[in-house]
Amino acid sequence: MSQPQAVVYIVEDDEAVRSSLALLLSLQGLRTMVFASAEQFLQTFRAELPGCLVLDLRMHGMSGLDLLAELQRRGASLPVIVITAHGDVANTRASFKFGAVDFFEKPVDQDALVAAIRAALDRDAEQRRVEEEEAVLTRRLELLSGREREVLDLVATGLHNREIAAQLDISPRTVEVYKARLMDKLGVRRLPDLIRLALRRGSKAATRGA
Amino acid sequence: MVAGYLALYVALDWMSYLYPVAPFAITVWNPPPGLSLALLLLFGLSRAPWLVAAALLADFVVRGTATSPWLHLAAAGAIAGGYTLTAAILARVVRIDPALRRVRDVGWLLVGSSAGAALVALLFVGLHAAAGAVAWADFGSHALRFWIGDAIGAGLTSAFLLVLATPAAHPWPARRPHPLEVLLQLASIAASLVLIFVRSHPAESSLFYLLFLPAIWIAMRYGLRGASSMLVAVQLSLMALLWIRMNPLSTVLEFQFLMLALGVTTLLLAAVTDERAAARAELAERESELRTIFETAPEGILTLDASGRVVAANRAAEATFGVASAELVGRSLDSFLPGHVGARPSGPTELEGVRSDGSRFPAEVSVAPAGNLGLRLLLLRDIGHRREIEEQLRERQEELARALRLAAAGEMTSALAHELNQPLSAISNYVKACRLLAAEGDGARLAGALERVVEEVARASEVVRRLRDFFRTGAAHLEPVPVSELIRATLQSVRSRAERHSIALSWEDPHTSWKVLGDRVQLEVVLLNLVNNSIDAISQARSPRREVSLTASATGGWVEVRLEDTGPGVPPDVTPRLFQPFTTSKADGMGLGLAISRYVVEAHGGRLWSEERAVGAVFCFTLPLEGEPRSAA
Repeated sequence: MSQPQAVVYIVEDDEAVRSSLALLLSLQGLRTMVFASAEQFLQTFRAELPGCLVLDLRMHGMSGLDLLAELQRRGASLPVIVITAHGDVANTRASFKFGAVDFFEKPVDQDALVAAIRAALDRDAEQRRVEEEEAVLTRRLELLSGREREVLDLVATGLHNREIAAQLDISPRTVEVYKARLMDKLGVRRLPDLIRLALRRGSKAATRGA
Repeated sequence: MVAGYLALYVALDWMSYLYPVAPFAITVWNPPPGLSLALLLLFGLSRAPWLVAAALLADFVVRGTATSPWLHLAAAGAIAGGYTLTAAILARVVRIDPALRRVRDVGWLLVGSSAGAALVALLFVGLHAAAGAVAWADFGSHALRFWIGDAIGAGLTSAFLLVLATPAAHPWPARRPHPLEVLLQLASIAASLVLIFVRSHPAESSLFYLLFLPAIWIAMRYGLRGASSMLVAVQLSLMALLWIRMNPLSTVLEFQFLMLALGVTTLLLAAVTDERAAARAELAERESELRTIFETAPEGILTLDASGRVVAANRAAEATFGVASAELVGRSLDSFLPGHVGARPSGPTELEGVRSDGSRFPAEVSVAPAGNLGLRLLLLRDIGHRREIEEQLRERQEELARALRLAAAGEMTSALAHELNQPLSAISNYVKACRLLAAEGDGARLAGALERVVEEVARASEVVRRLRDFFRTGAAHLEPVPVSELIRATLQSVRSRAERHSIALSWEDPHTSWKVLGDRVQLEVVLLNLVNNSIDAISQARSPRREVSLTASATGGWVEVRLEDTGPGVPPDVTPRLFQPFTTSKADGMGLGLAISRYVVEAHGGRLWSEERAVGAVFCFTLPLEGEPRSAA
């Protein structure tokens, strides 16, 4: 579920639409912040804050698509729900290219919108959690010694202790010791978890190397 | 030709050397000057030296070298000089036609011959008197004898030769002379001569007037061709008879004067006859031309008399009324063009015509006076077909206007849908919120939210009303619209599209408070159409320069918005029907954008047009400035 501090940003130039949506969402227990223009939103927005964006594509001033492009330029991973005029396929398609996660045509079905907002917030929270985990893992991997990394790489290839020992020219008993130390350093309790983690690191390394 | 001329000259001189003042060329009848005049008039004055040679040769052959060579030479010079001068005046000053087509040509030829003869007579006789060859006492009688001989000889002979040389100018009359007629004419001349000479009376010349009768007959019947031949024949016969009968000189002179009168009268009369025949032939030619035009004209033509009765009708008129021309002639105009009062000249008027079978048709009629006899020409055209086409066009145009209004309304709908969606979204949100507030029992906030719902419902119904008005009447929702704001708002809504195509949109905002009276949504539709057209044109053509610029200016109560782009411009084959519906150069275009835009602008009282430019397209439109007096659009 969403974290308590997550905010639904509403960017909409029509005052009535903006305030009614804010009222409705707040009554459903969501924190909202409203902006009359894309420019206003950009002044306030900070990428590290969790939340999601509900954006009207058709606005005076900087258009919704411009805002999406700007967010992408800044590398913000904020999930965006786009509200478009009926049948505006071109702009809808363009908005997905800029990373929108969902879209609604006016007039909007609020229940579906609220559900989409909650899903987006969950997704944002999950995203942020995964990123957090990754960050932790990266920090831990950096604590490993050279020999420990070699053992981890070989574990990832699915070799048994004896085969690892033969490859590294050490005794199987020593491999056991390395493994225990790896599990300790990486905060893993069971061997399968270590293997999964090793695989993830390997894939990451492969990705980087590519 | 020289030899022929000289031979003929000498022969004529020899033949006419009668009753001379021997041994000089002073005679009562002398045709050679006529030969010389005809030569100079037909072949040019450069032949003048031949005249001197001819005079000398004739003197030598006919009369021998009786006097001094110098006198011969001087006399020849006088003859040649006198007649060359005569020919020069006739050809260069009076400019007579050598073919003698008109009366004036004949008149001048006779006057010139007489005057030339007088000059030569004075010179010739004077020279001989001065040389002592003749006595000064005889100067008068000799000069007179010389003059009458040369005047007749030059006048009649030259006329005869000129007519003989130009047969094309003197055709025989249309009615060929019957041999019997010719016989009668010859017989009457012969009879006259017999009567003149049979009465052996001193005053033989008293019956000379008889010759006028056949002469006039021949002149009127055959013109110059007949008259000149006859005169030569009469002159020859006369001289022969006088010579045979050895009449005294006084009688011969009297006859020659009468002969001169006969010659002048007959030739002039014959010239009148010729001229009249030529005029009649020309008239017939013209008339046949006019008749061809009359008959083949695609319009019906009726000739009317002063009382409005038909005198003639052409084929087109027959076809229009469905009757033969013979049936139209003599009828009153009223029976088939009722309501056309009389036949007064008038410009094109639309009337109803009645065909012979009683059916009616719309006719365009105009009447013009023709000539001085009160005749009128009536031109008539069956415009039934044209009416039909006009009617069809009008219907098409109405259909088109209706279709355009629907299409415009369609475009309006999508523009207004956005406006309608805003209050609907808000209402929907508020109503949901109200439900939640009601469940919570928060009465104060519930009342506030309901208040907002009422406001938004009012806003939505306003939008609907505008749309409905437009569908029903095409009426616009007029309000003062700031021009700058209108353009800025429109450009903002297409900016991202332009950027995706790397097109720079520029708007020179004059920062004034110009306002136009108009329907904001409709005007936005116009601007969007124009800007989107430019964007499409530039992106399709892959133009290297990619700009769309807008400017605005105001004059005379009108604001003019001008859009220029750097696209390929309007293709020349599209230009004439650019603003017609279904004209498009886009694969997916309906071709309605510009038609609708013009429709909308014109509905606002303005104009929308395109301008030619070397690069790109230019579109301009005007709109009335709010609250200002306007000059004509």
